[in-house]
Amino acid sequence: MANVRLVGLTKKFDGNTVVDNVDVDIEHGEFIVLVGPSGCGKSTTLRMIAGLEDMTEGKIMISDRTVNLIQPKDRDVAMVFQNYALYPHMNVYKNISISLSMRGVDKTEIDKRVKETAAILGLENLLYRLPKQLSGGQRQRVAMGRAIVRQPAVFLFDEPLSNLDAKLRVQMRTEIKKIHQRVSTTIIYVTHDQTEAMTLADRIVVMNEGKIEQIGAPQDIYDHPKTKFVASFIGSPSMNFVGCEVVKKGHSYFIKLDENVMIPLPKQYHAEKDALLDRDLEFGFRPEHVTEPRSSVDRHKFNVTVDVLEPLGNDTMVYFTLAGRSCCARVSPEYAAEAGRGIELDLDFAKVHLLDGVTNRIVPAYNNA
Amino acid sequence: MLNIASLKKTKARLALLFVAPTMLGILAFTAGPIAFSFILSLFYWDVLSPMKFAGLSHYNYLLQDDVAVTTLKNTIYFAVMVVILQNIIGFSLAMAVRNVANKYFRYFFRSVFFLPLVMSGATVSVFMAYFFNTDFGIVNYYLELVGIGSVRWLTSTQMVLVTTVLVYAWQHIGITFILFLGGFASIPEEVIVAADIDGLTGWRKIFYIYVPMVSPTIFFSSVIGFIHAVQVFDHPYILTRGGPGDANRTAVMYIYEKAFQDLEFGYGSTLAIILFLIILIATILQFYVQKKWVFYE
Ligand SMILES: Nc1ncnc2c1ncn2[C@@H]1O[C@H](COP(=O)(O)OP(=O)(O)O)[C@@H](O)[C@H]1O
Ligand SMILES: [Mg+2]
Repeated sequence: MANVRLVGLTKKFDGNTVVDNVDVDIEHGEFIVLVGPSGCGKSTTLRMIAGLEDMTEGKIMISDRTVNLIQPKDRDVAMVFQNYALYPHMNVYKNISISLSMRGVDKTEIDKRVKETAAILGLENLLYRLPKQLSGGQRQRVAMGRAIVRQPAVFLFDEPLSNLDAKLRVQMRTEIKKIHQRVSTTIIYVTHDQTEAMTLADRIVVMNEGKIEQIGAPQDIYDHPKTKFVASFIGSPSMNFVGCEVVKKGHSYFIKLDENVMIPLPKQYHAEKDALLDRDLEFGFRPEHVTEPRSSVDRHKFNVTVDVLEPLGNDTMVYFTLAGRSCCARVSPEYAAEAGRGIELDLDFAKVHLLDGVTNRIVPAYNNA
Repeated sequence: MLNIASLKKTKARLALLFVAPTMLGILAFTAGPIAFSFILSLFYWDVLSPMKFAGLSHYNYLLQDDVAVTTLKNTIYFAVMVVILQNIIGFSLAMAVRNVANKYFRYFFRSVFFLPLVMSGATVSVFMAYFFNTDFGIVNYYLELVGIGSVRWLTSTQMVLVTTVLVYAWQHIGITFILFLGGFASIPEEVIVAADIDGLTGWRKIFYIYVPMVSPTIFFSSVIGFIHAVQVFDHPYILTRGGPGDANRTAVMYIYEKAFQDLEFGYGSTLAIILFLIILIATILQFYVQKKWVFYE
């Protein structure tokens, strides 16, 4: 069983901490996605797992074996790179088979496995071509074939789809997921693209500046981000944030965005409501939770002026200014609006977040689950 | 209205104007001398008396001239050895320097390996003659110190050409070295990393990855290395004046001796034409064979 454990993994380049005390426990067969902005240390983490980079501190375990001092080729991992890294002078067959022949697997077995792999990836007709005779998508398939054929304990993917055009990227995404369902090998996948992370992962590890911000299932991370970074990084367009304070009027509590907009404090924050008074807070809500008016109890209607409209076809994004901050709402295309005009929007209470402006952490909500 | 045809004509004339200097240069300094050599090779001429037509008799004579055959053999042996040695050493040095972590050391080695190239072949040969001297040379001094005993580097007919190869290759290694550094730099880092993970390590990595991926460099350095080495003159001349016997006599040296010492310009030209043909055929052959083993991305 190939589980992977990263314990206190740390990497410093000339005194700069690039990966900072990373702890992750990865189950056998899990599809883990490391996501974060470029430069946050994802590739370095992956390279340390592969053994291509020494770690400064910490421990890496693969299949319950500490691999800190083990050579890349003996770690039983296969890696797929953004720019494919195929051997340009070898044909597809040779590219896929070379790791097996290096390990002394016999010829008929190699042939069988190469053919199987080619079938999974639809490469049967390309086996005797050179990489330069293939398209980007085909090259990436060969790169994956080279990994799959070895039947390694762990697949490591470093932004494998970033060089492909948008359409092919979506297509290959689905294929990678299919392959995972078929071979059920542990996958550690690095990307800066949150959509890829959401669609592929069993669990997402969100990284920022070398540190783990949050680990969780995609939906859980989306619904319950723990920090401002996660809240704004996951989801597109990202979550709106507006400075606010919680005020008490008589027996009722309100979130006050500015003099004009006061929103009753949502239920999920009632348990801690007095602790929220007089704190430096921000109010966060996702675009899809601000819509055209709908009839439901836990909603709040308010009027804004439209700055910009972005029709997407299925929905229209409405940009407006709220308490001095630019915000975005997702309304149905039929809900006629026009830049410069007033519009009535409707906010879903149950889905809003309060953020501690000092710690940049989301204030935990309670009867929310 | 603008006439396209006349515009094209003007452009073509302008183009001709730009290539004219180069063309004239080639005519005057390359094609001209080759043609002149060829004509000379058909005549008897000692500069002092008038030229006399010889027909192909120089070419006939060459076949019976043992010295000519020996010098041509020496030259080809020399050039082939130099090419092989330079490729192996240039490749290895570039590989080693590439792995030197400290960038100042890297700069240092780059300059050091390039340095002999800016010296003249004559200078290098003069001090190498001291180094390889049988009785008081530093090379034999160390060989005796480690118990191998002294080698007759420059006085043995077996060794002298090998010694010349070593001296020549040592001086010119900088070119091959720089070529290979460039070749290695063009290999994508990920490919090397992928090889590490795929288990291509040590010698396998060298033969499956590095060698094929720098094959254009190997080809290029072989072609220019061969063309250059076939024309060697100053190293064997300064080291031993071609001796002992004819063991260190090369084609260009023999051409020089025949033409300028014996004043047989016709025969000298014949030798030159043969050498030219050897270079031409060898180069064509290399270009033909490279299709089988050189890989271009
Ligand atoms: N070999 C190296 N030497 C010095 N700094 C490095 C090296 N490799 C990566 N870095 C730095 O480490 C940080 C993280 O890099 P990387 O892991 O590649 O980020 P990501 O893959 O998340 O974009 C970057 O700031 C990068 O400049
Ligand atoms: Mg990266």
